[in-house]
Amino acid sequence: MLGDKRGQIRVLEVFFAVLVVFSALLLTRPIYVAFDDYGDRDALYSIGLNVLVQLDQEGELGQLINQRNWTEISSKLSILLPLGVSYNFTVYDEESRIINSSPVSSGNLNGKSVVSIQYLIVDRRDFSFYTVRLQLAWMK
Amino acid sequence: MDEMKMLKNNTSGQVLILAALAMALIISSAIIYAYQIRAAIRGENHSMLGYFVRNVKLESRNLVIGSLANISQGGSNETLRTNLQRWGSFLESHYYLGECSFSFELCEDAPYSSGLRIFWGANGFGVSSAKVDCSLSLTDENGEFNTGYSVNATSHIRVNATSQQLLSQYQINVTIRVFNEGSPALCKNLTVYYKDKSGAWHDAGLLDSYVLQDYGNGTYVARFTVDPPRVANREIRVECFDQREIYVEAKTTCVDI
Repeated sequence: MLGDKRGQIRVLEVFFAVLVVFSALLLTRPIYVAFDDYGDRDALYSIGLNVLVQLDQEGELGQLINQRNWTEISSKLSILLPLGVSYNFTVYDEESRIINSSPVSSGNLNGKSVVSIQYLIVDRRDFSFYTVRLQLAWMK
Repeated sequence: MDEMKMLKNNTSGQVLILAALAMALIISSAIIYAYQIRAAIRGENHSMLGYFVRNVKLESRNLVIGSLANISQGGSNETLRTNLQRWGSFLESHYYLGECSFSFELCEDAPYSSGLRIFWGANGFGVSSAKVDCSLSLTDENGEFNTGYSVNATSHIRVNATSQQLLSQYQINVTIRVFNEGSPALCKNLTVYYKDKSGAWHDAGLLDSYVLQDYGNGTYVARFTVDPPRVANREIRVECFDQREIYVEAKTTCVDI
C-alpha cells in the first residue's frame, strides 16, 4: 500500500516535470517567432524605404505622381522590389485624399504580416506635396 | 503509522518545490519575453525616426532644386521661402511618432542673398544656386532628437570660345562645361547664340554648319561657321538647362586665333 502511494506521487512528479518542460518550450517559442517576425519586418521596411528613396532620388516619383502615371509607378515598383514581395501603393494629397484612381498593387496582402511605410514626396515641378503609403508583405 | 505520515510530508514537499520551480520559470519567461519585446519596439521606433529624417532631407533637397529651377526660369525669388514654409507645415502635420518642428534659414552670406545666387556673367561664367540651412526637431516619448542639415543646389557653366578665319568664313568653336554642385554634369538642353556686326543675337543651332559634340562628361563643344564681315571680340551667349531643369546662362567673347 505504502509502495503504491509512493508510485502515485512519482507519477504526479513526472507529470509536473513534463508540464514544466513543455510550458517552458511553449513560452519561449513566441519570443523566437516574434524576433523572426521583427527581423523580417525590419528588412521589409528597409527594402521599401530604399526603393522609394531610389525612385525619388532625382524627383522622378513626384513627377510620375503629378502625371498620374500609375502604370509606370507599378512597373518601377515591380522591378525594384525583390521577388516574393507583394505591395500595395497608395498616394494621398495634402488634404489626405486618395488620388490614385486605380489600385497600384501586386498580389493580395490579406492575412499576411504587412509592413506599412509612409513617405513624404515633393513634386519639383509644381511643388505639390504627397504622402505615399507603401504596404509590403512577404509572399508565403 | 508515523512512518507513513513522514513519507506523506516528504513527498508533498517535493511537489511543492517542483511547483515553485515551475512558477518561477513561468514568471521569469514572461518577464524576459516582455522585456525583449519592449526593447525590440524601442529599436523599431529609433529606426523609424532615422528613416523619417532621411526622407525629410531628400525631399528638402528636391524642393530646393525645384524652387531654383522655377526661379532661374523667371519665377519670383520668394518662391523658395514660400515653398519651404509650406513644406515645414506639411511635415509638422504629417509626423505621427510625436511632435515635429521644422525651421530653415536662407543663406545670406555673400554672394548669396535670400538663399539665392544667380549670376550670369559676361566672362564665360554663369551660376544659378540656392542654399538653405534647415533644422528638424523631433520629440517623442523616448526624448528629443535634433538635426541640422544644409541644402545646396548649384548649377554653373564655364564657356570659352575661339574664332578662326578659314578662307572667307569664320570658324567658331565654343567649349561649354556644365557642373552640378561643383561636379561635372550633363545638360538637358543647350543653345548657343552669336552676335553679328549690328549687335543682334542669332541662334547658332539654325546654321547648317552647326555641330554640337557631347563628350559625355559634362563637356560640350559647339562648332559653326559664320559669314563675313569680321566681328572683333565677337560675343557668344550660351543658355543651358541642366538635367534638373535649372537654367543658367553665360556670355563670353571669342578669342581670335
